[in-house]
Amino acid sequence: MVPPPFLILTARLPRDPHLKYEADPSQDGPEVDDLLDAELVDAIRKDFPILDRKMREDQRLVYLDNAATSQRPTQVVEAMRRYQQESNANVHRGIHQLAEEATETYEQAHADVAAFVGAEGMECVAFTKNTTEAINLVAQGWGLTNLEPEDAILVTELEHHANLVPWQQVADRTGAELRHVALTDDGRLDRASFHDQLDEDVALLAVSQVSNVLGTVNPVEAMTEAAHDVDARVLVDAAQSVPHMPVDVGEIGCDWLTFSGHKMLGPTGIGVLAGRREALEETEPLLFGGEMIRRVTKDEAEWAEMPWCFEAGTPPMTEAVGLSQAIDYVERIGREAIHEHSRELAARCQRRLEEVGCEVYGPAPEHRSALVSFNVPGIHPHDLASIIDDDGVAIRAGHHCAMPLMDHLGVAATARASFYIYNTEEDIDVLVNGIERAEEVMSVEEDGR
Amino acid sequence: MSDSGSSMYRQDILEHYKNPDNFGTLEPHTLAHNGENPLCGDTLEITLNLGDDGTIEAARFEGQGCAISQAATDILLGRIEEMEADEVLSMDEDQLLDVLGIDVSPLRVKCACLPLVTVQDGIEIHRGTMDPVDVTRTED
Repeated sequence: MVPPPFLILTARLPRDPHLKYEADPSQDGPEVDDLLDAELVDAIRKDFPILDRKMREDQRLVYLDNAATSQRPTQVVEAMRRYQQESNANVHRGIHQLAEEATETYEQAHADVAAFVGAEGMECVAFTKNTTEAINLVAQGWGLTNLEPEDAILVTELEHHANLVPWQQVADRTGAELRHVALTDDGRLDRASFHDQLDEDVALLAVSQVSNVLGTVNPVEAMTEAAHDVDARVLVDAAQSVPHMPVDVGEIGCDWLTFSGHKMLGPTGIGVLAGRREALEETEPLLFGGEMIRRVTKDEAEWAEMPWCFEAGTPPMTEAVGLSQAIDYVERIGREAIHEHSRELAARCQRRLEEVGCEVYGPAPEHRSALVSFNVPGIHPHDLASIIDDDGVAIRAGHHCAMPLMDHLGVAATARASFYIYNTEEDIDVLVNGIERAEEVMSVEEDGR
Repeated sequence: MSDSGSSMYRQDILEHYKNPDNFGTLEPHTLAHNGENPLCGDTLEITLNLGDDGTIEAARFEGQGCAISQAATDILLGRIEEMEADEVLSMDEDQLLDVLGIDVSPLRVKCACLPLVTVQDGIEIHRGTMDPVDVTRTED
C-alpha cells in the first residue's frame, strides 16, 4: 500500500537563484534620498522582460503607471507557472499528495503575508480578489452589522473611490453619518479638520496610507491612536504604501489593513485583508459557500476558523503563490531601499516638471511617496498622454478614481507619473522630453476664444 | 485605426481646438443641451436653431476639455448646419470619424463622439421622442 502522503513542509517553491542581489544585513540602511545602485537596477530590469519590448515605432517602454499596476518579474510568473504545471490541486479538501502540497503552499502564502505586514499570524490574513473586495468585506461584514444611525464614519477627501463608495453605502443603509477630513492647500490631511470631526460618535476611521493621486503619506499611526482614544475602529487602505515602504499592522495599530498583489510585483486577482485578531473576529464573512464552513445542516451552517471563513469558494491559489514570490522579491531588495528609490525619483520628477512649467499637485517631497500628479498648462492630460504614448511613455491621465479630490484641486483630470524599482532617471528624461514635444505638437496660436 | 497617438493632433484639428468657428451661445435658440464625458471631464453646452422644415440653421457650443472633444464639436457643428435634423439623428460613430478625417485612437473615440450624442439627444428631447435628461454622458 502507498504510505500516507508525506506532508511536504517545504512545499513552497524554492527561491530563484538567478536573482543576483542579496540585501546585506550587515550594512546600514541606504542613505536618505538615495536611488538604488545602478547595477542593481540593471539586474532588476533583466527580471522584467516587458521592459525590453518595443513600443510603437521601436521606442523603449518607459513605464510610469506603477500606481495603477506594477509589472511582474520572471520569478513571479515562473513560480505561478510551476505551481500550475507541477503542483496544482484544490486546497483544503483532497486526501492526496498534490492536495497536501497545494494546501501547504497556500497556507504558507498566508504566513508569508502575515510576516510581511506584521500581522499576528496567518489566521489574521485573508485573501480576497483585490483591495476593493477587502474593503467591502469590512464595510459589509463589520460596518453594516455594527453601525447605527447615531454613529459616524470618518473618511478623508483624498480617498480612492474604493475606500469611499463602500462607506457611502454603509452610511446610506445604516443611517450613520459620513464625515470627511479636509485637505490643506498642499494636499495633506488637515490636522484641525481631523481632530474637529473625531468625536465620540465616530465608530470607524477609513484612511489610505498613501494617496494614489497626490502621493501624500498620511500619519496613519497617529491617526489610529487618536481614533482608538474615542473607541473608533480603523481601516487603513495600504494599496499604495505596501509596495514601497515598510508597513506593519502592529506598529500602525490599525484594526484592518488592505492591499493588492498586483501593485507590488504580484499577480492580479489577489488582495489582502490583514488585521488585528479581535477586529477580524468581529467581522462577518462577505461571501458564503464552500471552503468557508466547518459544518452544514439542511438549515444552517457554522463558519470555519479564520481566515478560511473569509475565503468562500476555491481561492486564488496560483495568485497566492505569485504573491508569496513577489514578497520574496520585494524583501530581497528591502522596502526601505525601495522607498528611498521611488521617493527620490518622484522628487526629481517633481523638480524637473516644475522647471518646465508644469503645475504639480500635492505636498513637498518629504511628505510624498512614489508618484507625481501634474498638468501641462494648456494641454488636457488625455491629449498629453496620447502624444507621449508615441514616445513609449505610459502615464495615467484622468480622475484616478478620486473624483472628490479632483473637485478639491479644481481640475477635471491630471496626468500622473508613478515610479517603482525598475525606473531610472533616464525615464524622467524621456517623460520631460515628451512633454516638450507635446507642447510643440499642440502649439497653435490662439486668436482669442 | 492608427497606432499613433500624435497623428490625431493634425494642424487643422488643433486649429479647430484653439480657434473654433462655432464657439458661443445662440440667443434665442430652439434647443439647448449639455454633454459630459465623466472620464475626461470634457463638457459641452450646445445650442441649436431649427428651421420650420427641420433643417439645422445654426449651431454653437461652449465647452472645456481635451483637444479631441472640442475640435470634434467644432467640426461637427460646422458640418451639420443646413443638414436635416433627421440626417443628424441617423449619423453613427463611423460617419462622425469620417467627418473628422483623423484616425482616433480607440481609447479616445468617446471624446470624439461626445458632440454627436449630445446633439442627437438634444434633438430627440426637443421632439419629445426621448425622456429629458439634464446632461448626456458618455459611459466610461
